[in-house]
Amino acid sequence: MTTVQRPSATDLQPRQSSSLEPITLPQRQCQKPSRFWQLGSEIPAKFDWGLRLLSVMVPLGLWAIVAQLEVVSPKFLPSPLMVLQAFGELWSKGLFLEDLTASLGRVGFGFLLAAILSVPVGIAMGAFASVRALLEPIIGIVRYMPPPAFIPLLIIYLGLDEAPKVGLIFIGVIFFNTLMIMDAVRFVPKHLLETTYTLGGSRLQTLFQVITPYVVPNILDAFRINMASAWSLVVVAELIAANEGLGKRIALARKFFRTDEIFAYLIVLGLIGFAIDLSLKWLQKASCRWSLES
Amino acid sequence: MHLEIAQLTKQFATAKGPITALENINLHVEQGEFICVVGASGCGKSTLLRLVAGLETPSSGSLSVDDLPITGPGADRGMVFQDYSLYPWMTVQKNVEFGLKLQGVEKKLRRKWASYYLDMVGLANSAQILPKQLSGGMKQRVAIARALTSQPKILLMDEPFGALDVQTKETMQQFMLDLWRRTGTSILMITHDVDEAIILAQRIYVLAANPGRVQAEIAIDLGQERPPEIKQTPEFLHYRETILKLLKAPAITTS
Repeated sequence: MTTVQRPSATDLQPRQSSSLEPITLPQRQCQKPSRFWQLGSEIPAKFDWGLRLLSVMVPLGLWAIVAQLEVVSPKFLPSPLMVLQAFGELWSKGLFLEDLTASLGRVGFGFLLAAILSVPVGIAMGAFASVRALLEPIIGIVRYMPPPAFIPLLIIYLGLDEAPKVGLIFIGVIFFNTLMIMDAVRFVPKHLLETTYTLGGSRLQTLFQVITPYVVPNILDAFRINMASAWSLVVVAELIAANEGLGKRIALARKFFRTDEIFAYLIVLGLIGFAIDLSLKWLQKASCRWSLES
Repeated sequence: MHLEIAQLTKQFATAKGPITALENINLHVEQGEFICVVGASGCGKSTLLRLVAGLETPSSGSLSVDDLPITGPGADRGMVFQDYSLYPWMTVQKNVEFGLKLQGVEKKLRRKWASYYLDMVGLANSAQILPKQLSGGMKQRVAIARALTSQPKILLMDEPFGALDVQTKETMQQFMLDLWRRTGTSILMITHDVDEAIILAQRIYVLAANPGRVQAEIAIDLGQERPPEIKQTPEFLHYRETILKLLKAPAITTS
């Protein structure tokens, strides 16, 4: 074994040469580790699940207590049990499934139409500066027109049936979807495209076989985010004119002062939106394992 | 294969007027040669390689492979970038096959060729995994296999080992020498690492900066076998000193 001589302490002393005023720093203090407040890292799994459970149970419990104490009249604030009963009633009358099918159908159809159009347009805008220059300004303006402001026009043009509701969701989703997909395409690494060219790929091949698969996770992300606005727009559309649907039922419940039904449907709206979000996340996990953090 | 660059000049337009990145470059690579271009950062050596790849167009002068002028990127000039640029959603095997797929080669045949080159770079066992599961050196070997599978006339490498740690870098240099001897591929490689250039190249072009121009062309006469220990030989050190002297940048002055 060879030993390397340690340099003597004087060798390592920094030379004081400048005329700068010396700085006195406080004595060294090491950061204490923390289980809960560690920045940017996970907490133990059992705490994680516990906190997630609390996140739902605490508001539910507070609601139950406030309702039980009758701080407000039950007519205004029904208890969780009353809400559950109201839901059971709507379910047994078959109204809930009817409403759910109607609303989901509108969201699904409007969103699908928007997706079919926004994916190719978004990719083209991201890939070609020419298409971008042509479309970005107009989309940039139209997307800031609040979709509900289109309702009167939609009713005048499309009547009172399903078409204006589907149209509203379409308008509410397509512009944001397109611009988000465009942005994703612009972030495709340039070297990936150049590599494809030097492997003999044409521009068209690069567009379909490199750019498109690369942005699939981003497209699903855009879908997830814009699904939230589709979900709220369907309720807006139904509040104004509809025969059935989750939003319609809420409007009716107001007429009959059925706050329990309103609560029931609000919770249902939240839960279904959450479920859609989770399933899109799952789809992303299942189809794009490569894009997830190892 | 014969790559010829004659009187090549490249200017870039900037807000402050045109900047000359490369000026009057004359350079050639013959069949089976391993050529390195060294230069300090900012001397335009990456631009030079991009011009050969057809990813940039020259301002004046000419570039040709086998007397066919280079007018754009093509599969006859395979490229390996420093950042590997593997397709993250494709398995290693699919990455390596991709060039042949783009050129319409049928599945069975391209699979055979991809396996052949994967085996050559020592990654036959990693064919079915995703690039993110590989180390940096392995990723670069995939990128090299991918470029070679497209059967290019010349392999262009832009600082291919620049992101690797010192030990991996040395392994990769020996690997590259071995691969070059076995395949007989013509290689044009850009590097800022003088030792790397001397270990690998048969000839070295030394580029000077502002504007980028060929300062010297040095034939490296170190034979075929170049183990890492060659770095201690007087011949190696002589080449090293010569090139470093040419590259010597003006000293940083403190007032």
